[in-house]
Amino acid sequence: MTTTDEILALAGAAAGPGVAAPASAEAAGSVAEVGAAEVTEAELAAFGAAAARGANSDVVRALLAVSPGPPPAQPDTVPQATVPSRNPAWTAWLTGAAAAAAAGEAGENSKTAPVHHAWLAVFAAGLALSGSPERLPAGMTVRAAVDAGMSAAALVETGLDDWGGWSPGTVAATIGAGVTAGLLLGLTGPRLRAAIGICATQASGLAAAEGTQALALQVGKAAFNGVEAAMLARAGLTAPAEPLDGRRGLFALFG
Amino acid sequence: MPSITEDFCAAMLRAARGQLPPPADRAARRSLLNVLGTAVSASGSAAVGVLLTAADEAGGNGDATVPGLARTLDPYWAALATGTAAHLDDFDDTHLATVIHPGASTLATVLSLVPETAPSGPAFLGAFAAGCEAQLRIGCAVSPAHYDHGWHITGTCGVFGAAVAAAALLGLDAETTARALSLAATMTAGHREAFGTMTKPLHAGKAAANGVLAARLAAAGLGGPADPLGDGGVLEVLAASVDRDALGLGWPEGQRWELEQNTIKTYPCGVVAHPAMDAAITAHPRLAELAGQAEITGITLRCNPLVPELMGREQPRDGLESRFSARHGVAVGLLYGRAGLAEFSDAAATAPEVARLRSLITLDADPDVPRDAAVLRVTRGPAPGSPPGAPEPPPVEVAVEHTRGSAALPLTDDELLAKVRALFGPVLGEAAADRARDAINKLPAAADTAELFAALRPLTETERTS
Repeated sequence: MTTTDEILALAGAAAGPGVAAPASAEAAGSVAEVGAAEVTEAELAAFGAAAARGANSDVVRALLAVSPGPPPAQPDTVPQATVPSRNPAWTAWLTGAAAAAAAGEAGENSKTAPVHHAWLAVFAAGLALSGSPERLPAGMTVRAAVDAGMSAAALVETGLDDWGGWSPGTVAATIGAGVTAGLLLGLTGPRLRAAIGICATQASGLAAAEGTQALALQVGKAAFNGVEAAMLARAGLTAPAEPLDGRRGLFALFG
Repeated sequence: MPSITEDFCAAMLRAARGQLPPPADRAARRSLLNVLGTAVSASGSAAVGVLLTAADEAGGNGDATVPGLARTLDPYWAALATGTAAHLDDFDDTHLATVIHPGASTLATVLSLVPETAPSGPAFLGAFAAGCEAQLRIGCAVSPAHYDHGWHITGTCGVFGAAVAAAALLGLDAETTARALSLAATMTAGHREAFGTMTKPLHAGKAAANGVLAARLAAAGLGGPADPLGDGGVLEVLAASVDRDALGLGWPEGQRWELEQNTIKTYPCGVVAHPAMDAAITAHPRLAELAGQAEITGITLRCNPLVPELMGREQPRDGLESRFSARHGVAVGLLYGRAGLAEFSDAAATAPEVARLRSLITLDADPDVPRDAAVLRVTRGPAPGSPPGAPEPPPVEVAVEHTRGSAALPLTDDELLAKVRALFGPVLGEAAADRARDAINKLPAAADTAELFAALRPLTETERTS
C-alpha cells in the first residue's frame, strides 16, 4: 500500500464509519499507528489566538494589500470572521501567515515549538473552511479534519530528508492542509486522492526562508494551496494516482 | 554593490523596457501568436471548465481576458485559466535545451495584468519577451540536472519568468524585482509525475499566478532570502549542478536571446516524439501504396533516450495520456498520415486499430541519436492473397535528421499562421487568427493592446450581425 493509500485510509477513518472506511486491516493498522497527533480543541483555540496576534504583522498587511476583493476595515479582525474575498484559500493564507508571523515574533524555534511552525498551515486550512457547523459534511468536525491533516503531514515528513535546501515541514504541511481542506469540503475516494496530487505537485518552501518574511508567507501559501487544491479537485481537476510514491513524485524529488 | 539577482533583474527590466533587437522581436511575436492559438483552442476544454467552476465558487470574476472566452476573470483566476489552457494540449512551444514551454505562463501573466496596467504595445511585448527570457536563462543555469531529477521545469522556472514579466508591467525597479524572485523561489511548482493529467498544464497556470503574486508582494514591501540567484541560493536547491554563467549577466548587449531558440510545436504532444512522428507520417503513403496497414508486423524506433523517459506510455487510456506516448504518435502517423488534435482525442487514444499498432512498437533508445532526430523501421508480412511462402515486402525505413519545427528547421511564418488559424477556427473563426497576427505585428508601434484583445474574444451579438 502506498503512502497516498495510507493517507486516504486515515482520512477515511476521520470522516467516520460509513463515510470511507479503511480499505483493509492493513490500512486500519497504519491509521492507528500514525493517528497519534490528537489535535485538541485547546490547540485549535491557541492557533486562533496566535493568528490574531499576527494579524498586524507586515506579512499580513502586505497580503491584505494584494488579496482580491475589498480589504476589511479592521486588519485585526482577519482571523475571526472577515474574509477579504469569497475565496477561503485567501483566508487560509492570511490566517496561516498571521499565526506563523506571531510564532516567529515570539522567538519560538520553528522546529521545536509546540506546533511545528510549518504545520500551522494545516490549522489554517481547517479554520478557513470551518464556517458554521451545519455546513460541514455529516459527522465531520474541524478538529477531526485538522487531526487527519496533521497525521498526513507527519506521514509525509517522515519520508523527506532534511537537506537540499527545501523546507520539509512546509512541503509536508501542504499535503496536510490539502487533506484537512478536502475532508471539510466532503471529498472522498478519487477526489480526495486528486486533492493530494494537486497539493503534492505544488509542495515547496525553502529552508532559507527561516528568519525572513518569506517563512510566514510560505507557511500561509501551503495553506492556500491546500484549500485551493481541494476546491479544484472537487470541481473535477485530475491528478496523478501516486503523487507521493510515484517515480517522479514527491518522495523521489524531495526525499 | 548590487547582488547577482539584482544584476539579472536590471538586465531583464532594461530588455523589457527598451527596444527589442530584431531577432528577439520576431521570436517574441511568433511565440505570442502561437500560444494565443493554443490558449484559444483549449478555452472550451474540460480542464478550463473545472477552473471556471472553481473561480465561480471563489468569487473570481474581474476584468481580465481569457483568450476565447466571453467572460472575464480577476487577474489571479485569469492567469490560472490562461496558463492552463495554453499548455493543456501540449501543442504550445519548446525551448529544446531546457525543455521549457515558456509561452503559456508568460502569456497568462501579461494578459492578466493588462486591465490594471494598460500597457503600450511595446511594453506588453517587451514584458512577454523578458518573461520568457528570464525563465529560459534560469532554466539553462539548472539544466540538465533539474529536469532530469523529475521536476517539470515549465512550472518550476516559469514562476521566475512570470515574476519578471509582472514586475516589468507593474513598473517595479531592479531591487524590488529581486525581492519578487526571492518570494517566487518559495512558490515553485511542478512534478513530472503529473504528466498525462490536468495537473500538468496547471503548473503553467500556477507559475503565472504565483509569479504575479510574488511581484505584488514585493511591491508591497516583502522580501525573502537575499540574492536567490547567487551562490548557495535557490538554484542550488533546484539542481545538483548549476551553471551560473548561463544567467548571462551583463546581457543583453551583443548577446543573443534564448527566446530565439524557442520552437513552435507541430504536433500536440511531447516534443521529443516529434521526429518519430515526422518519420511515421512520411512512411504513411509508402506503406499505403503497397499493402493495407494490417500487414505491419513490427515497428522499431531508434530514438534519443528522452523518448522512453518522457513519452514511454505503452497503452494510453485517454487523450491527455496519449500526449505522453511516443508509440501513440507513431501509430496515428502511420495509420492516418497526420497527427493533429483529432489524433490525440479520447476517441483516437482508445481506437482498437491504434492500440494494435502501438503494441507492435519497440523503442530502441540510443544516446547517439540527437533529440531532434529519429529512425523508424516498419516490417510487414506478405500482402493479402499472396501464395504461401511469398517473400515479405521490404521494410520501410525513414530517417529524420531534424524534426519539423526544430531550431534547424523552424516553422515558416505562413506555417505558423496556418497552425493558429486551425486552432482559432472552431472557437473564434479562422479570420480572428489573421486579426490577432496583424495586431501582434503592430504591437511594436501600438499605443495600447486593444486591437489584439478584440481578436481574442467571441464577437457580441451586435458585432456579429453588423
